[in-house]
Amino acid sequence: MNIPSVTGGALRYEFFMQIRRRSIWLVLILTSILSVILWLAFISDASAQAVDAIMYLAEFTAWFLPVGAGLVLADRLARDKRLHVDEILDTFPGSLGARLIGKYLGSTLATLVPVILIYMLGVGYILARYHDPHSLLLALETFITIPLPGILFAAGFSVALPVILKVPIYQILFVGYWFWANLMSPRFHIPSLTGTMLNATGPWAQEAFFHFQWVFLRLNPTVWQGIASIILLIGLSFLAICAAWLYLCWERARR
Amino acid sequence: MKTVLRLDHLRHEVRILGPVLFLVPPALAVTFAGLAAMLFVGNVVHSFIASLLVAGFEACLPLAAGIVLSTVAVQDASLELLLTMPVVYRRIAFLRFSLILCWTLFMELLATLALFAFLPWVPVKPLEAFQLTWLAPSLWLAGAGILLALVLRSRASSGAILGCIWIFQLTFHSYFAQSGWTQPWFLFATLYTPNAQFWLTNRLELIATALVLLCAAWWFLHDPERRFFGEDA
Repeated sequence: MNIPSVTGGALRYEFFMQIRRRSIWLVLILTSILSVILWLAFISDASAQAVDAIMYLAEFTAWFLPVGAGLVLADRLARDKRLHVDEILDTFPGSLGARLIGKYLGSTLATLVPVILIYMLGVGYILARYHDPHSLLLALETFITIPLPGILFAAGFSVALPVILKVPIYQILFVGYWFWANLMSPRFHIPSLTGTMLNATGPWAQEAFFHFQWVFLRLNPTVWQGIASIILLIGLSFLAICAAWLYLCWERARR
Repeated sequence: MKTVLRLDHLRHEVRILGPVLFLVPPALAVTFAGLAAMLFVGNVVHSFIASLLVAGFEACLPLAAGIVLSTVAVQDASLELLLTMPVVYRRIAFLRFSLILCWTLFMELLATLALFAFLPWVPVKPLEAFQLTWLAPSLWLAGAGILLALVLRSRASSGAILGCIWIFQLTFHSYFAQSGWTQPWFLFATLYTPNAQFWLTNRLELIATALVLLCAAWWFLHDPERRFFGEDA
């Protein structure tokens, strides 16, 4: 059986399974309610323009929705193991790596559906308030460059790491990591990844492509640094999936 | 004999829960102590080291308790068997919750006493009041974690919601400390506003809400067959 057809089959199956999960919708809607309240507080100022509203929308989406998406995706492989689905799938001729990539892409795409719908609601509000049709294109560009790489990054690690960690332990570490590496203010004076290209909330892309400063960082990046940060985040997510694949192969060989 | 049986029962429940879940609080406490020691050696200003340790007490250990308890609330491989026994299921469930919660609270109490003994410049409150620093958020996140996991029937969703609330409050702490509607459920009042007038009220409100959440979880479990449905069933 060839790799693309196995990947496609796993992707399709995982997508439809994931999109029917009530918890995905519930968690992302609850998370977005809190961020919308804060977003409205930020744009309530009369001097705020449509561009500011779009940038804050993309920024808050990148801060919080990847956390919800990542935490909900953390039980995918653990669930297969608990229900012994992995043992049944191992008897099929399709390769484990192709299945894993399909699982990652399918579950991530399904998680992106509610994220995109929530984002579009925000964009609809901006269009109704500012009557600026150019906002639509800007909203598309900001979504692709700011929250999307962060969601892919969070999803990749959340699918991969629970292979070696128990789900609750992964969730505790992931929440702590997200705050420490992405949102921790310099007030704490603790070394952190917030100012590096590993910040998954997109400060490099935001400043490089849209010249909109990210809360407490002043990076002055070039466009190439913005592109590099996106490639790094997406590349790391696939690296995590590859590491999980190698671990599962090793585990299967030991059985 | 009866005491021996009870101890046996407790030991049995600890084995069912697994030692890994009990290792989480001490592992976190040791990690924070190690980080503080590194900063201390690096001559970092004492107030930052104090903030780090208070964050460990008020933010990290309570979050761990909440996420671990949401897993315990919905995972039980022998649920069908338990329901055929002449025991009240919710008593067993609450015994398991108590084991994890009491263990976490015990670790936090020990760590607090160690702080007062060896680093008395860290606690920002007197000994009695400082206990509320960790007690209130631990109970609140535990109650919220258990109830969310039972109602949503998914440990992943419950952990996700707790994680998002936690990150929101840490990131927008000024908003939570200043807005009237968010003050009663602001979990990190000691870390960010230790001298605020609402500090004690906030702690008491968190504890009261936590008790309401735990009572709601107790009521929810009066019909344990609800546990047969959902993602983690």
